[in-house]
Amino acid sequence: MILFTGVNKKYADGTVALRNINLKIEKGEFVFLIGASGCGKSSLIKLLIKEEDATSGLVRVNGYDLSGMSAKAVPFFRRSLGIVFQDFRLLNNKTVFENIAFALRVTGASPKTIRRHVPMAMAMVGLTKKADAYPGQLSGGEQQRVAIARAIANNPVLLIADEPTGNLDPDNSWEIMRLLQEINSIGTTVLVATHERAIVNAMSQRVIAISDGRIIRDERKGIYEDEGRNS
Amino acid sequence: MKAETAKYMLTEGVTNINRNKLMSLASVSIVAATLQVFGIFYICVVNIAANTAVLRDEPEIYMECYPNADAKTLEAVEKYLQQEERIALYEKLTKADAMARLKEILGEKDSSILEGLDESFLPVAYRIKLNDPEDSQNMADDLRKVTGVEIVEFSGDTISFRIRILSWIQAASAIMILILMLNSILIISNTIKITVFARRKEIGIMKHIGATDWFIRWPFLVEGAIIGLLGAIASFFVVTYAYSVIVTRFNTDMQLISSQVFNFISLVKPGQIALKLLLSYVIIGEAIGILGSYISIRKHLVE
Repeated sequence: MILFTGVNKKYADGTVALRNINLKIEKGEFVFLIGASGCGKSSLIKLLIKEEDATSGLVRVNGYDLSGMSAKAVPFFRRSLGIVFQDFRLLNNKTVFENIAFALRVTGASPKTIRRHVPMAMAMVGLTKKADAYPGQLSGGEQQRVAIARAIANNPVLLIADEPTGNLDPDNSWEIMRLLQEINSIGTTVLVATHERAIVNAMSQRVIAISDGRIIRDERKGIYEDEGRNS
Repeated sequence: MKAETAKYMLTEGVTNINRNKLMSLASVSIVAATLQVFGIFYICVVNIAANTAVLRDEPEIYMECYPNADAKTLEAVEKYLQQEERIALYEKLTKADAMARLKEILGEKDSSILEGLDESFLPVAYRIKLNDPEDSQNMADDLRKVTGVEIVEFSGDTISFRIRILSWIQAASAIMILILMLNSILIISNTIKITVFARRKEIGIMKHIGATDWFIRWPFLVEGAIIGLLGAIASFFVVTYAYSVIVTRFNTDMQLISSQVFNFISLVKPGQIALKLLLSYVIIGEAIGILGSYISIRKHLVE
């Protein structure tokens, strides 16, 4: 599903973001990616979604070899992913329904497919009643649920969430995590980058901790510890 | 491309134009202005070419005797023509022919002004074709010296002059149109750039959910194409309307003053050039629009 072999990332300005990352995530796993700001978490996610290229090493995601991938192939690779961001990234001039439908339209889905899949995705996140609302009329939690519905509308095998609860209050954060777990329970691999200590500790899932561009801890049923204790 | 996707691209293109009405309007205007200048040059070229072609079909030399020349003089003139070796053939236009032509020009309505006049005030004229058109100049000079000959005209001078003018106009118009086209492309690419900027968040989202580059580009190309098309249509109506007004007035006036002496200059009817003009407008307008937007999305969509 996800395989990093000897991956290094150095930016043009000389910043070294990732050092010799070796990582394997199997299909159907639920994984937390934790670490302080600037530790390399975001770079790792950028490599995963082919927003950045590894300086060296091998990155394989969903059967695609990202290192040698042509620019033309990138959109098709991304359709096998669902991506959720901290800032939701919804289109404010489109309704909830249209936002979710948009993800399908981009892939050239037929109107029939759109009419079938969008309500399913909305039901999954519990927003069926808000189909005609605009993002501006929704709470932060609701907006993030729309973003999740958009991410899963294509039935991706892998869902990547980058700080999905960063802009939400604790109640809504829990709600989003519960939703991600539910999505994972039906077979989708879920990778969540987060700072939420309480949630990570309570959910008892695989935890990969990054510090200074290195993986410092990778535990099944892990918890959120202070990086300070490990380094 | 699927019908649904095409429909989406069109809708998005129209939406882009709507969101950015002022710049879109400016872009349409500049395309229209470019095409109007092109149209004016085009019409000039077509008309000069058409009238030059008419001249070429005409006899090489047209000669008129004095209306009051006596029979003996006229006989001598004709004899000269018969003997001249450089002349291939000639056609005599009698006073009666001239009268008939005059009546034809005046038409039923106005021919009443000729009532009571006989044909004696009209000249005897000749249309002369030479064996070698190169001789036109010296033949004309010689004919002017013949007693009783009043006017000698030959079209060679006029033709070469007009061809020279024609090539100048063509060169000038090519340069002008090139400059104007570059301007239009620049302004359109600016307009599209604004749209791209306004939609950069949307473009980012589209990329993350797996939109291909072309899926992202198409709405902007559609926007450029629509701007080009609107400019083409607008200038087509402006130019053809203005031209048809000019043609009507000009041809009426020319009919009044024309006679055998003057080469009858007539403007090409708007109907004859409308289709070609519309076609070139649409092609040029689209080229400007699509090129303009392509430049800006090339520059601004690349990460």
